[in-house]
Amino acid sequence: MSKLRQDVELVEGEIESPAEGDFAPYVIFTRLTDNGPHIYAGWVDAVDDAMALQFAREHYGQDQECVNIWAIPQPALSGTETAFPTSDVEGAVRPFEVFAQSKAGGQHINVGSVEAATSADALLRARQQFGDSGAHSIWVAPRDRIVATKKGDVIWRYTSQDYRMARGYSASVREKWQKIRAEKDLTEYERDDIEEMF
Amino acid sequence: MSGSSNLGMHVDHGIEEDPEKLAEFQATIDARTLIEPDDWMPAAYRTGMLRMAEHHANSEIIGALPEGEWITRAPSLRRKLALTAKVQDEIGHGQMLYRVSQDLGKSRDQMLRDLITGRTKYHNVFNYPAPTWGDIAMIQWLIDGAAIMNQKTLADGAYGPYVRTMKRINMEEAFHFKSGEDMVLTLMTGTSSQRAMGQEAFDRWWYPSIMFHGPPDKPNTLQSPAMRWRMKTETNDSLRRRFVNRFAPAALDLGLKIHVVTKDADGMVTSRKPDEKLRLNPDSGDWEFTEPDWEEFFRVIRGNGPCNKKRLALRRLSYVQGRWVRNAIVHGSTALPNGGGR
Ligand SMILES: [Fe+2]
Ligand SMILES: [Fe+2]
Repeated sequence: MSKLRQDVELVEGEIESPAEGDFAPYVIFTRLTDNGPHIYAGWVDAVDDAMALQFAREHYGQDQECVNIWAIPQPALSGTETAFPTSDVEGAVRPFEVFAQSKAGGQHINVGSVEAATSADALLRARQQFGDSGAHSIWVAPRDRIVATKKGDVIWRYTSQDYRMARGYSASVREKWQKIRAEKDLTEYERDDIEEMF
Repeated sequence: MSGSSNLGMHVDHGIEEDPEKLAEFQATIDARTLIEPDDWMPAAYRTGMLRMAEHHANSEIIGALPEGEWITRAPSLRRKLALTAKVQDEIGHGQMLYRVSQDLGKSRDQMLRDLITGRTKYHNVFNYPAPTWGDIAMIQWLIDGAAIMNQKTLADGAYGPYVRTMKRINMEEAFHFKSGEDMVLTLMTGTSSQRAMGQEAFDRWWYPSIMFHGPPDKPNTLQSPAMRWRMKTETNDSLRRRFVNRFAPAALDLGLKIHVVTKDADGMVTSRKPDEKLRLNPDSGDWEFTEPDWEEFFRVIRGNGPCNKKRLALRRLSYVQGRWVRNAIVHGSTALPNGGGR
């Protein structure tokens, strides 16, 4: 082990360098199966699209098997919530992906797409088309702002990832507990046995 | 791992809130509808949630430090892979929780600086030493086990982004706990020196894990804003009772002895004797045990624990050493650091 990290002296007080500011937030959606929708997974903070996607692959692609990842810069996302004020996306008519959250606290799920020229318009159409089923909140993002892994990209690794899953330990844990319990039962039996004999 | 239970929930009553909005807010929570970032919320709720999520994020990244030190010394390749993945998970938990905190109004850079300069705290349990591989096993079994219990109750809370994050985190905690249980079982079914290592590590970690859920409840705990607003959904004492009921009999089954210990300033055990109060109360169904030394708990929280300085020093070193990397990423400037600065 590095001695450098072992015996570090604590320097107290302020940090003598200017505030660095934060990276930009991206919302991450993962598609768990080939035919399933993209489902909200969480966020990463990154400086550009490439870093966001790479980070998302490592962060969200490794703890749950998935076949595709979308990263959307927060400013490209508009929602029925004020946390995502209508973004400034404007231009030619183009496809927007729609994400609906069925109840408060749930995950936003990709339910389809609409064609629109502005995000406000896209949100309106999305609400008409997908809001009937009582969506609690709807997000839209223009498809051309979504950064995605390509079909065939390896996200989940081919080697066994069992060591980073609870299931990778269940057989071994069960076997060891059985051994302990068997030994314990045996000692208790022997003790009873001795008590009976004397 | 981690959790926020030893975080004092100071609620600022200086701000007068609109009583109508406040009642509506309480009704939303009572109806078990989750609060989303853009919903109206009392200022005290916003600061309380920020403080809680920030404290939790700090704990995740500081908690990974003692474990990270053991990656190079793991006893097998599989254990090394597992510990690397575990440490990566914990830093990931920190990332997600800093995101939740950022949306409540504080920049990540500010949070990292406040942690290093001691303005904010992290979970007390990470101020204890991990001198052997046995400690790594006990941390993953006891502390991650305690963290799952706590975080399951937090996943039942009221703040949407925090709840979603807890659910995601708990998926990974299951792996931490199971691999910890496997490591403890390996030690306790092993040679006599492996069992001795397990026992000594258990002696070091049993009391910190009992204290994990925070100081004893106060008489008015259930009426506190933290409980009424479902920032917490179970009291410290109740979580502690469930923890001991789950882990005391398991430890005994493993052949571990439960000791009351004294420790030196480095957190190493200087004396131990069997916990004479330890017994299953047949009437309540709960395990009884000798109360932790709460004075020690508060001494450690105030910064005088065995490893407080070491943990902060390492975090500060990482922040300073990593500056050129962040600079390179943000500005494309690859100027090497000159002396590291402070
Ligand atoms: Fe964690
Ligand atoms: Fe953990």
